[in-house]
Amino acid sequence: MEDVLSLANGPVMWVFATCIVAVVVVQAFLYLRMTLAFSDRFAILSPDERSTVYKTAAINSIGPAIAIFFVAVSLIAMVGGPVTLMRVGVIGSAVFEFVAADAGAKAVGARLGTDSYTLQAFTTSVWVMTLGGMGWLLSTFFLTRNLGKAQDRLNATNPALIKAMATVTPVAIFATLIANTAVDKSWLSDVTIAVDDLSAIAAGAIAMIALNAFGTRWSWLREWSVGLSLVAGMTAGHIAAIATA
Amino acid sequence: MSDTSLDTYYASRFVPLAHRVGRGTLLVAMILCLVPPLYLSLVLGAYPGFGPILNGFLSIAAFVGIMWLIEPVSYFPMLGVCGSYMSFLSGNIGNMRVPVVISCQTAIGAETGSKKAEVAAVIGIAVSVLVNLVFLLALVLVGSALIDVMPAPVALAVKEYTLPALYGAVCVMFFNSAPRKFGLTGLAVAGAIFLSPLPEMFGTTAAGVLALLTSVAVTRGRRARLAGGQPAGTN
Repeated sequence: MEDVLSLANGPVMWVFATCIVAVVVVQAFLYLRMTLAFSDRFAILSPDERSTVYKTAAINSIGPAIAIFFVAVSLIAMVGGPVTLMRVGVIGSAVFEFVAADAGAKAVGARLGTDSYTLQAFTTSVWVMTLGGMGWLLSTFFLTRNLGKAQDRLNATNPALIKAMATVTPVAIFATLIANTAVDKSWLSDVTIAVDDLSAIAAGAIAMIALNAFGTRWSWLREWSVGLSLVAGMTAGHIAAIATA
Repeated sequence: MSDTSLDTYYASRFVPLAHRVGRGTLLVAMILCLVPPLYLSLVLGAYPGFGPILNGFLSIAAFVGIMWLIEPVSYFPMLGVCGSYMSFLSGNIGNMRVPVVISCQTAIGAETGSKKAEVAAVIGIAVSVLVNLVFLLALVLVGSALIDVMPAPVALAVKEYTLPALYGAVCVMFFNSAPRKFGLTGLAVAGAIFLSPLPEMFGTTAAGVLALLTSVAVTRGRRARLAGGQPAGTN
């Protein structure tokens, strides 16, 4: 286990991780540059709106980044820093990479974080994480251009459908995430409601409604809306957990 | 400048360049991703054999395989062209990219589907990618000492309740930015998925598919009515 981790944290792995992270950063800057040029050329965002977007994005990224950070901490102990950085920071989602690393270990009869986790087990984990994450990259690579074309066609023929898809889908997805987080169930039976999670969801939602309402008067509140809602939700969840303990 | 020249520039210059940048960076990333496992297998000689890799891969594919196909489709209307390439390369879509996109669009009051919304999405995702990396770099450099600094109850609350709170807040933002009837349609779709016998882990994928199909049904019904000679609505 120690040998594996010292290899997993070795300089060669760091070089690989740095290269992959570099691609993500380069891509972000390329898109940022071309989009800002596009925006300036046609005055799409005013300078004020632009700085609002920068601020809002930076502030509201912090909460989710801390949550990812927590999953990454436990993954580092299992597969080392470089793999965590290249898989969780980029490409994967924190939870998926954990499951994939575990599936790889199990495939050679090993368990994460124990002495049975040999270099071979580690290698299997990395293969499973890599191939598993590749699915999203491949389908994005092949599908996005067609999706763009389909959207253009629909925009010309049926803009109402585009509007419906862009607004119905996110509400449906996030409402489903809410239901799955708050309620544990088999089909229509064995229903248990997690009161602490439900309180966190409700407080996050109510805080957002309030912040939107006050945000029409004090616009800076809207820049902080996600961060403040997260604080409200975490506080409520924590209190509910204590109250029901 | 007129709208026509904006649209022409967008369709003939911006979008093709966006696809070239996206496909190029994704291709490089896919190749680079294969380097670490190949290095471990061939240089360090720890190749576990084809069987275990396939086994591990299949046990993952069984529950994410359908997401590979559905997610790029169902997130596309929220992310756009640039946003899709960026989000699927940098990951953490539902828990970070999408929340940042909708909060940026809400902050400047950009209407869904407008150029303003698209520009805001790209800036938002780029900034969130950088913030996320700063945090992860701090983590791998300073280590878990960062968490030890936090009082235990705070650390626990952050760990347990960030996602539920985020889902609640983000759902409200999307509901507010949607025309009321589409927001309600989205809730109805989620309700149908919730009452269905589908296991939880396929819930969001199924919600995405059903939402797209319902959108088609809802707008087709309306078009049929319009075509049927009824007076057009005021929206």
